[in-house]
Amino acid sequence: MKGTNLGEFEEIALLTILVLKDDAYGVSIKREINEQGKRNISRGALHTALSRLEEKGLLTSKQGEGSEDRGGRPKRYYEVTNKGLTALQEAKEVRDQLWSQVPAFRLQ
Amino acid sequence: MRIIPPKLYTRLFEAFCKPTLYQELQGDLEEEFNFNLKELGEKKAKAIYRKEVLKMIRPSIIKLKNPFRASLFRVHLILSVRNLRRNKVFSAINILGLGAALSVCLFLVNMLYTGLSHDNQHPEGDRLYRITTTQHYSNRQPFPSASGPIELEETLLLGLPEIELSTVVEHGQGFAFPFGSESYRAYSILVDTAFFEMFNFKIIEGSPQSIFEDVNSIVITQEVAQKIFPNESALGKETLQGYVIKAVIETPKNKSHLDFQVIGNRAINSLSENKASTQNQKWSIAYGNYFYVRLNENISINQLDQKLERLSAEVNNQFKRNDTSLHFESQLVRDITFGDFHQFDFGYVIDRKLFHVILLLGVITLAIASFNYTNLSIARAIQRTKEVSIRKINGSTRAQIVGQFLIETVIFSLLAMGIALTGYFFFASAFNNVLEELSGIFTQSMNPSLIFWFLILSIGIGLFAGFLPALYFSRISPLKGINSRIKSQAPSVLRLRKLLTGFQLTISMLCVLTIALGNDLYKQVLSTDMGFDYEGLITFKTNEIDPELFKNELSKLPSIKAYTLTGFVPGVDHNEIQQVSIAQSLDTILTYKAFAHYDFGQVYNPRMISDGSPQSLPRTSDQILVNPLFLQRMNIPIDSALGRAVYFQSKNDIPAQTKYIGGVLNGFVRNALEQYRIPFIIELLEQHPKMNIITLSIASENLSSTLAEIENMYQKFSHNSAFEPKFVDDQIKNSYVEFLGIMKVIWFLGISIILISVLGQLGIALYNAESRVKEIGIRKVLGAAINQILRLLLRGTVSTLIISFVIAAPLAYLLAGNFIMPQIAIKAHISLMAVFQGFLILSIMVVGVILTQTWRTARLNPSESLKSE
Repeated sequence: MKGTNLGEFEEIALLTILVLKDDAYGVSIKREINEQGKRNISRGALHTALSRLEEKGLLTSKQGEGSEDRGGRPKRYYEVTNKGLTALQEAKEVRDQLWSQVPAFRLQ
Repeated sequence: MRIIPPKLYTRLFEAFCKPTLYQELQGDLEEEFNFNLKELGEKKAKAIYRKEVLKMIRPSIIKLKNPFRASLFRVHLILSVRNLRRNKVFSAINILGLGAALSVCLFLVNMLYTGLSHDNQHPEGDRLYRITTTQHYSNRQPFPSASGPIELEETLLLGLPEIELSTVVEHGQGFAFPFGSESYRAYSILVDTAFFEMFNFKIIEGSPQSIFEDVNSIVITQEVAQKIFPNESALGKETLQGYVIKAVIETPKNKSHLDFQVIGNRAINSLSENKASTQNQKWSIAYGNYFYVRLNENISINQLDQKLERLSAEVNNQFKRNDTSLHFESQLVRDITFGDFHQFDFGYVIDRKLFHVILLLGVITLAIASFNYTNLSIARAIQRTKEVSIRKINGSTRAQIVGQFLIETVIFSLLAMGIALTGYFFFASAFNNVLEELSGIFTQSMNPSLIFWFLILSIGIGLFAGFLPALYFSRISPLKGINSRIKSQAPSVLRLRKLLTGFQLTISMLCVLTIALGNDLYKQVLSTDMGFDYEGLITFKTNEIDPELFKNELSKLPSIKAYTLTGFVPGVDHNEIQQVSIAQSLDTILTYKAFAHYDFGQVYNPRMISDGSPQSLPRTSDQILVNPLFLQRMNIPIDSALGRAVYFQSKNDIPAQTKYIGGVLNGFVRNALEQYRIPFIIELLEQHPKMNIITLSIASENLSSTLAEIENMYQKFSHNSAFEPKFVDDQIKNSYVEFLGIMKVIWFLGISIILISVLGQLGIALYNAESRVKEIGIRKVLGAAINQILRLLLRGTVSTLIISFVIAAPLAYLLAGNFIMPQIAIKAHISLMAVFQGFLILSIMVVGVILTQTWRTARLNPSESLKSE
C-alpha cells in the first residue's frame, strides 16, 4: 500500500525520536542522526521529513519552552504515535523476513 | 560582546519562511549556531548557519503567498488602459518610439541568432576545427589567411594522430546550367570524400556521396535546383559542360559559413594539375584551400594547437625564408561566422568587430527608447503624484504601486512589440534585399523560439524602462503629494531627466554626424580619381567567341574610337593571384595580377609615375605595369624600377617566367574597397585565354546604333551566349555594394535612433509647454513678446544641443576615421562641412519639433490661460 510505507530517512527519523524519548526536538534529532548515521543532513531537510510524517499521522508534536540559547524561541517536541510505531514494526518485519531468506553464503 | 548569527541571513530567512514555522525553526538554527560557536569557532559556525539558511529554501518551508493576485492585477490593468487612453499623445509617443527600437532589435537579434546558429547542425560540432594559416613578416603586419598551403593536406591526412577526420575544401570553377535561352553560372566548391561525413547538410534527393565515383558528378543546392529545374527532379540532369547532377542538398545560406551552389569532386582538379608543379611551391599560401579537421574524442584543443605550433616551426625550419614564417592555428567551425578577420575567407563570414558594433547599437537604441519612457513619465510626475497619493491613502503598499507602474510599462512594451512585429513583417523582405551582403546571417522567416525570446526581451525592456519611475512614484509621500508641494523632491529627478535628455541628444548627434560623414565619404569614393579614365567606356565579355576574330570585325566600325582586350575591368575586382620574386629565390610576395592587351593604355589612359605610356612599350609579352606598393614590397626604388627583372613563380601548369617592369602606375585603384594592401601588376600580352573582356570607347552621338551593330556582329559569332554591354562606371559603382551595405546598416540604425529621440523631444516639449501655460500667460500679461517667450522655452534645448555636439563631434570623427576609412582604399578626407551639415540637420529637426508645441503655447491668449485663476 503506497503512502504508509516508510522511506529510509523517515524510518531513521522515527527511530531517533524514540531513542531521544522526551527530548526529541529539531536540534537534538538532527544532531543524533548526524552522529549515529554518520551523515550530514540540514535542518531544512529534516523539517521536510518531520512535517511529512506528521501529515501521515505517524508523529505528533507540541510546542515546548524556550531557552536563552534560542533567543527565547520555543522548541517543538516530537512524539511517535501508535500508528507510527505500527509502521516501524511493519517495516522491521519486512526487513527481518527478507534477511532471514537471504542464503548465508551470499552475505559473506 | 555576544556573537550573533549573520544578520543578513536571518533577515532573509524571516522573509521567506512561513510565519507559523519561523519561531521554532529560527530557534533551532540559533541554538545550533550557539552550539557550533562553542565547538567550532565563529567562522565555521557562521558558515554553517549560512548554509543551513540556504538549505531552508524548500517548498515545505518557504511561504508561497500567491504573488499573482487576480483582482489586483485586473485593477492595475484597468488603470493602465485608462491612463493610456487619457494620455493619448504620451502613450503614442512612447509606444511608437519603443516599437521602432524593438523593430530594430528584431532585425539585429535575428542577425545575431542566425549567425550564432551557423554550423550547429554538424555532428560532433565541438570537435570540428578549421586550420588557418597566418603569414608573419619581420617588418609588416601579420597576414592571417583562411586559406592555407596545399602541402598541409598531406601532413593533416597522414601525420597527425590527434585528428579523426580531415577534409579539404577548394574553391571550384563556375558551373554553367541551361537557363531558358541563356546560361546560369553557379559558383562551386570542390570537396573530397570526408566532406559529407564531417558536414551535415540535409539531403533533398539523391546521394551526395556518389559524386566521388567519378569526376563528372556534382551536387547542387536546393536554391539552384528550384531555379533551373522547377517542378521536376534535378537528378541526372546535366550542366552545359556535361557534369551530371547526382544529388540535391539544402542551401547553405543561413545554415553554415560555407557558401556554394555546386559541390564537385576534387579529383576534377587533379586531372589538370601535375604534382611536380605543386611541389616547388614550397609551403606558400595559395588561394582557395580550406582545411577542416575533426579531433579525436579525447584530444583537447590545446594539444592540437601545440601540435600545430610544432608543425609550423618544422615547416619554417625546413623551408627557410628570409623574413616570413607561417603559423597554423585552429578555429572552431561554429565560431567562423563571427570570427576574426581572415583574408580569402568564405562568403558568409562577418568580422567580429561588426558583430560587436551591431550588439552595441541595438543596446543603445533600446536604451534610448527606454529613456523616452522614463523621461516622459517623470515629466508627468505632478499629474500622477496626486493619483498615487490617493491610492496610498486608500491603503496601497509600495510594492503594489511599483507593480502598477510596471504593469503599465509592460503593457506599453507589449503594444510596442506588436508594432515591431508588424514593422518587421512589413520591412523584412526589403531589408533582405537592401542588405544583400548580410543576407547570409538573416533569416526572413521567424521561428517560434526567436519570437519567444523576443517576447521575453520586450517584457524585460518594459520592466527596465518602468523601474525608475515606478520606484520614484512609490516613494511619494501621500501628504506631500496632496499638498502639491513636491518641490522638495523635484530637483534630483529633474537633474536625472536632464541627464537622460542630454545623453539621448548626444547619441542622436553622434548618429547624425556619422551618417553625414559616411555619406560624404561615399560621395568622395564615387567621384574619386581612379588613376585611369573610365567615363563612357563600355565593356562586354566575348564568352566563347575568339577575341581576335571579334577585334577584326570591330576595326571595321568607324564609330568606335578605340578598343582593347583585357582580362579584367579596372576598378572592379577581377584578378588572380601571382607569386613574384626578385631573383630566383624562394622569397616571394603575393600580388594581384591582371592581363591586358598592349593597347590597354589607349583606352584607359592610366596615369603613370614613370615616363612613357604603356602603349609605347615593346610588344614582347614580357612587360608588366606595377603599382608603387609592389615596388615597396620588392624593395625596388622607384627611380631604378624601369627595366628591372622580376620572376613569376610557376603556378599550376604554367612555368616560371621572367618579366620586366615597363612602367609604374600612379594611383591606379584596382578595387576601391580593398581592406588589405596587396600589390598589383598588369601583365601586357597579345592574347591570353583569360583575356575575354573587350572595352570600347564609342563616340557618344551614335552610341545606341553602334551597340546594335555590335550586337548583330556578336549574334553572328555566337548562338549560346548573349551580348551584355556594361558601362565601366556602373560596374565600379556596383563594386561598392559592400561599403554601401555598411553604410545602409548605419543609416538604418541611425535614422531609427534619431527618430526615437526626436519623438522623446516632442514629448518633453509637449509637457513643458503644457506645464508652463500659466507662467507664460503671466509673462505675457507683464508685457513679454512672443519671440522672448520662444527664446525662453528654447534656451535649454539649444544649450543641450550644443553640448551634445561638443561631445559627439570628436567621437564621430574617431568612428569615421577608425571604422569607415579603413574600408576604402582610395584617399578620402573627413570634411568639416559634412559635420556642420549634420549638426544643422539635427538642430533644425529638434528645434522644429519643439517649436510646433511651444508656438501654440506662446500664442495663447493670456485671458484664456489665466481665466481659471
